[in-house]
Amino acid sequence: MVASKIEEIKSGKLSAAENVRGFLSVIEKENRKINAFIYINKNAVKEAEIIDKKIKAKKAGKLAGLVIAVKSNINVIGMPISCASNTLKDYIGTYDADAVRKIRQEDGIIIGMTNMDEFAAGGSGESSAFGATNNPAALGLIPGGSSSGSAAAVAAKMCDIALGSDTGGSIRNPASHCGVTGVKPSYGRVSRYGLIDLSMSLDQIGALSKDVYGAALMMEVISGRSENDAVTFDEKVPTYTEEIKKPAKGLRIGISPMFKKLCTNPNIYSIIEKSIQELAEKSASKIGEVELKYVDLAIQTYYPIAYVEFFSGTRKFDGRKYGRKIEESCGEEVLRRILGGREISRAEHHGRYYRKALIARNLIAKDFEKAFSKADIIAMPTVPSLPHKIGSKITPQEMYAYDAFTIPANLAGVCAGVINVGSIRNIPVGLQFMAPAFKEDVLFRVMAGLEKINKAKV
Amino acid sequence: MEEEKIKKQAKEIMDEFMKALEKLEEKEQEFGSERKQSLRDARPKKCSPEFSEKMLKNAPKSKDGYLVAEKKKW
Repeated sequence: MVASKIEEIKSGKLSAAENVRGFLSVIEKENRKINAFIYINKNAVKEAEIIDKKIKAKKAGKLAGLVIAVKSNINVIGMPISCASNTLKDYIGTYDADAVRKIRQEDGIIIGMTNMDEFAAGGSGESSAFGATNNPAALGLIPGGSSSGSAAAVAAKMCDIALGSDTGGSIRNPASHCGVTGVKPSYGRVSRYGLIDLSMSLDQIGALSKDVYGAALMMEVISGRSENDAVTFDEKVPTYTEEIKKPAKGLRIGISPMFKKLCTNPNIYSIIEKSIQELAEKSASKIGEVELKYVDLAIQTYYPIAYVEFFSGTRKFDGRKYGRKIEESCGEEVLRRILGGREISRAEHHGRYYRKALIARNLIAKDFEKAFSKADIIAMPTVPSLPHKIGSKITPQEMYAYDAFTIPANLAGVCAGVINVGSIRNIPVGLQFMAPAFKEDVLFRVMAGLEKINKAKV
Repeated sequence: MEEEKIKKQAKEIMDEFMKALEKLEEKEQEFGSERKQSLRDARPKKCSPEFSEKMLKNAPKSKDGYLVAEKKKW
């Protein structure tokens, strides 16, 4: 796991270069089958050797020697930032995103760029122009999306930690399907500078890792105010890796009766319910109902916002400065959102769709605010159903329904995390926690508490 | 799927979603969040020659350090 890997590297048992070589060998063997990576950094070993010198001189940072995969919509200088689209197939990053810059400052090694749903507009990992990503935990099934490659890379042991982006569940959904840990920070916690936007008022960069420690460490590194992103806040960033050592005790765990109704697979709900009860028992916590009146309108609220903001954000892809004109080179779902966004933002509709969705968004955010006055944490499923077989024909509405439990956190701007709590026919199931905005410390403490309980059972 | 069909489908999805939101009471609301300091200092940043070079490498056409684009095509 990540904490023990850091110890091995620090003590000299494992060098950064050996760590990189180990992952490169797994990628070499497995990537053809999994399709988690679109691009591999050919200089990774050389970069690791430089970091090894810093480790020996005891001048290395928090991520020293750890191998990091980056989603293909986050800018890394010199690497292809394709958003898994033919539109940006040949686009090479001209600068580092703030998150990437911070990773480098702490001596993490970028191993490559991961596969994803085209422009992050999807929830299955199938809409990439570079082919679908396979689920390492359940081969033949979708890994979830849109951070499909990042979740699959972590699950297939191709990296220590991965960066993803989450607009409506794009980190948490694949984390759940691949059986890994995934965290979406509060809106404004991590700089979006260098992230190619899907929906600018909802996007956040977050982390995927095998364990809570890895996700906490990455969030500790990439969080904080940036001059480059006007919506980042000046909130102090706690040392999450220290926070998770504190026990999660005497919590008020909130659940809503609506969750059971929205969870289309009752077996998933049973696993989630059992896990919440176990956590409550072992942490001397109380489970209480919270009222979330509008949570069943999350999908209908999210998509008009996402369509309009995506349409607006993609106007830069006109093929003049770089890439190709998006409408002429993108896949079906991306085109649906562009055309739909253009249509509903036309002057003749007087903002009917977008404004109505913003009103609903406000109500959902207020719902959560109230709920968090009665609960420290809210627990629920991550995805209402199991992942489908790669290549299955499903309607856009069916695909959108996968986001029913994840979207509310983006609409409310709160933080959320997913941890594996079991499986159905060997297909992983993740439990999702939501905590108030900028309370990632509470979120990580609870996730680490549950991880400990689960480990003790094995 | 052809463009017209996709557009029609997208509009139908949006209309279906709007029906679900219609029941919500529409009040004048303010959107956004309060913050102490909303503007950063206006400090112009110099563009390094290396950045320009990298940027122009992504361009379909460039000449003498400038981007070449067709006029009046948009």
